[in-house]
Amino acid sequence: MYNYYSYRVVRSLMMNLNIKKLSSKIQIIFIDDDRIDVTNLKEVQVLLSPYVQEIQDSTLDELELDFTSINFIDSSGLAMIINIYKTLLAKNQNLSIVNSGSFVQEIFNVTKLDTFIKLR
Amino acid sequence: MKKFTSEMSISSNLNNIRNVMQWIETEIKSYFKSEKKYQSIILGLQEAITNAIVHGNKSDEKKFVNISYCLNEKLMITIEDEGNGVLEKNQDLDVSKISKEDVFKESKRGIMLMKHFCDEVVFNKNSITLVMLYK
Repeated sequence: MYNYYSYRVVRSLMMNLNIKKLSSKIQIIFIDDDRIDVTNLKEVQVLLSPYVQEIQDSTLDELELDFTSINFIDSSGLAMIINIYKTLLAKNQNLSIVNSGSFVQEIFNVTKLDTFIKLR
Repeated sequence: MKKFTSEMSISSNLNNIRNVMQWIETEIKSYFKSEKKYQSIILGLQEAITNAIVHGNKSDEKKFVNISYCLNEKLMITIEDEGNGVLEKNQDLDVSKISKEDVFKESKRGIMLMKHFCDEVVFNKNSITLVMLYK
């Protein structure tokens, strides 16, 4: 069981994030938009980047992205995920994606990203 | 079945893509019996429009991307730009050819996804036609 010590909502015009900071990881839940794609990529990157930086600057093990609400990701969204993965890998930290639907999982499968990025 | 055709033109700004998606959803989603098939054509369409805006028209907002569809026994969507077409070597991109070295490259996945998720992808001079058997 993780030690849950903070929770807040980060707001933007469309996509919003629920942030849970646990003892070993930061969990980010996407809310209010159902896609990560070229139409909202810059917005998502701006929202995520402080937490990627926070993980890098910490001794935490993992960034967990909760895809419960995400039912669509395109190649630009995948490129962003790869970029985050590589950034974290440089400090031996992990990226995992949880609660992805079958269509999103297939996108990760066919592009072979599931062989490196943990999908749960 | 009656044949439906329609078309839409957008300037080369990525912010216009959601307008196209709304238009397509309103016009054709109800004809799809399978949600997976619909998501697949939407993914292919989005990749093709992004490709047209970014690579075909070099994001020049004075240039347009024309999207047209024909729906009868199958759905055909054509995405036309003002560029020179997709390079032949990129037309050959395929998910089955992804090597370990390629997995972490951040580009070239759009065409692979189009080809995997659509039933057929036809590359023309300055357009791409996506074909989907939707019934």
